[in-house]
Amino acid sequence: MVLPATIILFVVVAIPIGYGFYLSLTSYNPVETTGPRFHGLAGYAEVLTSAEFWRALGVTGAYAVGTLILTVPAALGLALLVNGKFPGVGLFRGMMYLPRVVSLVAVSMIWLWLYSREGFFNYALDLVGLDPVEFLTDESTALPSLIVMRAWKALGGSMIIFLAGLQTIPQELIQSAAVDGAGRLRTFRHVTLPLLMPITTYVVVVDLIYLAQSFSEIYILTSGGPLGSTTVVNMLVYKQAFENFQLGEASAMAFVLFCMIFALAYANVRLLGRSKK
Amino acid sequence: MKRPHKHRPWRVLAAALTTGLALSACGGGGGAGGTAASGGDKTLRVWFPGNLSNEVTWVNGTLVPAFEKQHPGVDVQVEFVDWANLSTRLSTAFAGNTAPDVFGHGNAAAAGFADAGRIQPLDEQVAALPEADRTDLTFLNDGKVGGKQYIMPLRGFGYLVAYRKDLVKEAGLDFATPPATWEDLRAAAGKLAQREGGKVTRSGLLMPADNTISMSQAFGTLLFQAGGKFLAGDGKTVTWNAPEGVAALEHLTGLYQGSDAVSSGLGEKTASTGAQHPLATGRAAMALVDDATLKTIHEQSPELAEKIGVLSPVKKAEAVSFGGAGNGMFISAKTKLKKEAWDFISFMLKPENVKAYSLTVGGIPARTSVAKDPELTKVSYLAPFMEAAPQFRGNPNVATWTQLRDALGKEIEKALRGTTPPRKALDDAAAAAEELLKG
Repeated sequence: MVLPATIILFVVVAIPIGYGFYLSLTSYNPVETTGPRFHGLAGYAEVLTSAEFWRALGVTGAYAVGTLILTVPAALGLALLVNGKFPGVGLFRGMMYLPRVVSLVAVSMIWLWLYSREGFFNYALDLVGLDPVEFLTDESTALPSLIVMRAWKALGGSMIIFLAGLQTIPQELIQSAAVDGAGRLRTFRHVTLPLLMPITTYVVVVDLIYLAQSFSEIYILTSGGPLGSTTVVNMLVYKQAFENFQLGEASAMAFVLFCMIFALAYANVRLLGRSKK
Repeated sequence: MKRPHKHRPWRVLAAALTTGLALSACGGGGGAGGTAASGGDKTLRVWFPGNLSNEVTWVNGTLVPAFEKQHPGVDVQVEFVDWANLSTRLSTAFAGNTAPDVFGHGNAAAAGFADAGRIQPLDEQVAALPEADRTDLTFLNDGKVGGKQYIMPLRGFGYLVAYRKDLVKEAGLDFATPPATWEDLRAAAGKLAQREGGKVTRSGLLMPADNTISMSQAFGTLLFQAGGKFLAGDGKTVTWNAPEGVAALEHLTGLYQGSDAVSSGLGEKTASTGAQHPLATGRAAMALVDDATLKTIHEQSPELAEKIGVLSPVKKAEAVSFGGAGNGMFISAKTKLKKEAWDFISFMLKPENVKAYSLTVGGIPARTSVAKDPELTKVSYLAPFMEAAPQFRGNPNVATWTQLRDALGKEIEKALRGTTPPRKALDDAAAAAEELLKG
């Protein structure tokens, strides 16, 4: 019964991961005809001692954490807002969820225009008499601009998860708190928020895992520039693999990132387990 | 211990899937090159770089049917590959033995592919061409690597300064005697620039600075004008940090920095932006543009066509500019259809097709005779580039050029953004390049 699934898993998961790991132990330029040349852990040593890699890891962390700081509180607030029953709530929920279902590439193209010198944001700034901002081409604004775009994209999905979490909270507990004289704020702080902890943990860790793998929006909006200020690890992997044709080193980088993402996923499972207890 | 291995398809599949662990988007290869299609036809696979709709229409609707009519039994399958993905697609296709029989790419890629043994030398085929054809092919020599012909350029390109006639007149300048030196051009840019609160709101002279590639090309223009070179004649010694290079980068950074800066918009995409180009929107009065960018401005802002003029290259030591052979055609080393592949390339280089290609795609025609064609010389965005063709200088054809260019581009960006002084930036780039040249 499980044989077909096992074979598929082996072919599309185990073999690529295994071969990818092998490649990470080699020096391999796909344009050359010599094929991969085994050089052990040298590629990992090169990656782990590369200032460029650590900088990219820092950018990845800043991007992921920055996006979460914007997304999680806003998504929770919106979920609380749409948890009630009022006319048009369904439409509002649907509209908020829309960015989630649109392709990230399409969203990035739209935001590329929004952020451009002739785009909407600079037009709006001009209307109120402010100087234009080089959103994507200035070292100090490029990463924050990416974070805002990504937070907008992630907001609806996180809101729906929080909403689902809110709707599982037994109304008896809320009513008991009210009977005990707790106001809305105290009820939220001492009843709703603790009961939402597993959901919050899930949202934070799953989003962190996704954000750590970000590539397409950065490729489209900034290509890692200016001055490498938006070069996340996956952008560096791409550049090493397909611009510098260093597939071995790129694979080593991908595996280091994979280990870090795996550690995050493991932490997610442990935290969720602890929350349930 | 180094253990070379032969490529196998499963390895390529596995490698591609593994890279997918980290990357959300990867290109894929097609079928094997040079196959027999149903009905006994030979299938010639051709990849064109870029996806301009005009080019797609002309290639699929005119060029390929005409070729197939002349070569019964050859079925040409064309694929247009976006420039941004071309290297990715080609590298995976090479590794997986699925490279097309014929493919187009920029001249800068030739030496790397030749060094890796992925493309065929074309000396025999070129030698068999009539003498008149060989001398007529303008950029033939640019397609040589180590003395061997590897690429057949389909067109040329170059950078020239375009300017808005109305803004020049408004600033009280008269380009009847056009700027001829760096100093002339800088002085004109100073008069054309507009500032507000210390910020340049209209560039007097905008240089291409979309990314590290265009920054290195802008630097290349000034380097050549200063009498410098990227590399010495042996192709192994970096010379971009010689005094000519330092003067070029200091001149370039001076356009962006200081109280008398005349340029803004570092990192802003300007290549082929048409109506959004600062020259079209009025955010720049002069701009160093390539022929393709000027073409898009003319096409998307036709009302500006009459208002845009183009200057001949200015000089410090020599009146030249960055340019030369643009994209051209290669034949894969492993093609089984060597004859048909060459037939296709030589068909593309027939005068009537060279003319149609230039009219459709833009760029300096690959034949000198075609550049004199009245239909082309009356194209206002093309004529100045065709005239200046002998003044264009390209990058050196060395195997690691694209990596050297990236190393240089990164440091030029640092200098332009004021984080590294020009001399140090060039020395740092040279140090990184020398490591690459050592291999």
